[in-house]
Amino acid sequence: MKNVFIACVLFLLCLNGQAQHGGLVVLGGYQASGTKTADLNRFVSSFNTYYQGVIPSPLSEYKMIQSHGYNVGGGYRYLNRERTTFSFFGGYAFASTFNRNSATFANGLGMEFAHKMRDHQIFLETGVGIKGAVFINACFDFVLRKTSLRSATVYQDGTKSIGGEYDINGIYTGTTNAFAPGISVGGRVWNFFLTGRVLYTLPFLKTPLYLTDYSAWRYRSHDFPLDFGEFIADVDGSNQENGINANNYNGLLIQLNLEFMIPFGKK
Amino acid sequence: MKNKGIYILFLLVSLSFFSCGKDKIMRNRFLGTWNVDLYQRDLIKQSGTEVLYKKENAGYITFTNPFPDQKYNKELEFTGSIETQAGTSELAGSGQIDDEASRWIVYNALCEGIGCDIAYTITKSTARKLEVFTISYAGTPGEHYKLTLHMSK
Repeated sequence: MKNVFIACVLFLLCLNGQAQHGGLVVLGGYQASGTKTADLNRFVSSFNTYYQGVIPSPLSEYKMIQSHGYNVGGGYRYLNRERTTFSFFGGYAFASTFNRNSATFANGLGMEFAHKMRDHQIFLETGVGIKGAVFINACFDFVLRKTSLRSATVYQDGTKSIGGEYDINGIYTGTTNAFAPGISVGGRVWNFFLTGRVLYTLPFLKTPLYLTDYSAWRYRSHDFPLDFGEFIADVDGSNQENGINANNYNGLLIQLNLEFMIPFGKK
Repeated sequence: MKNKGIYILFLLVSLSFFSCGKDKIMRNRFLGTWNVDLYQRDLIKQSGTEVLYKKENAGYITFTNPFPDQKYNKELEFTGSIETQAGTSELAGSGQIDDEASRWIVYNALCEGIGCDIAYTITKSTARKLEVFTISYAGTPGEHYKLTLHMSK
């Protein structure tokens, strides 16, 4: 461990004094992922209505920014250290964001709905760098997002089951591809960058792609329901249009990253 | 030097996309013979949990891959012998690991006399330890049976 620490210090010392304009960056930071809430809140209201009177702790309404998490990645950044000229960044990041919503019934049972969004993001941004200190870029990102919704029954002893004892239980997934325009601003101190990015993900396909769970056996539809009352009434799974569209898991995307540059190229 | 950096970046991006499916990794983890360290049936009620039956070193389960030639299958066959409250139970069946590697689904089990699949929620899985459970109705509203299996190699 001591050797690793000394090696890291020596590596950083070697980089000190280099004044290249561009280099490889490794990045990591916070990400908040937005969703379109209308359909999700229709599920919430229908669920709470169905169990009205026996649900002392109902599901909460979803907000526009509900999922929080991290992103890590890397890429190439160019920012001229002396002149005010164009700046560029291209790279890749993996992000994971999460949110949880739960309800408790009068008999002590509960339901928990946990969303996880895993993104593969291609960064492409270009704009203006001001004397190597700050930059403001326009972003043209691509986001491949896999959303999973873990729907679990929570028993009185705390056991969380995604088994088939209730049809709503399961892990429902859906994938969307999106173009994500936005804006990125940041500043540089030595070989560190602090960047903030605000984007809006726009899915390529408009056709509904429901969150589904085909792995488990169930009487009802394999799609996660839009309206819980309709789901319960549909005992043979014949209603194929009562699903949550995976495209709902797109919207505002906010990132706050710390980047470290390993400079290379022309000084 | 510049080209070298671009090659490294390209390599890192490529590696991040190149990964084995987690359902298949989980299926492979199941393969082999496991000692059933714990077989337990509980009754979960609002007033508390009652242990109905508990047996340590209850037997064994052997999982095999029925289609070893197929690269992407996640199917499992199993045989075994477990001491349950009804006596020694000989096991034989088939199933699969779900897409999210979170459930072991047993095909054509019996649910209250009707053929159905049973999904066991996986709570722990390492190369040497495997823990799963499944829940079923207990007949009284708000009460459920929980069957837990702890296995080790």
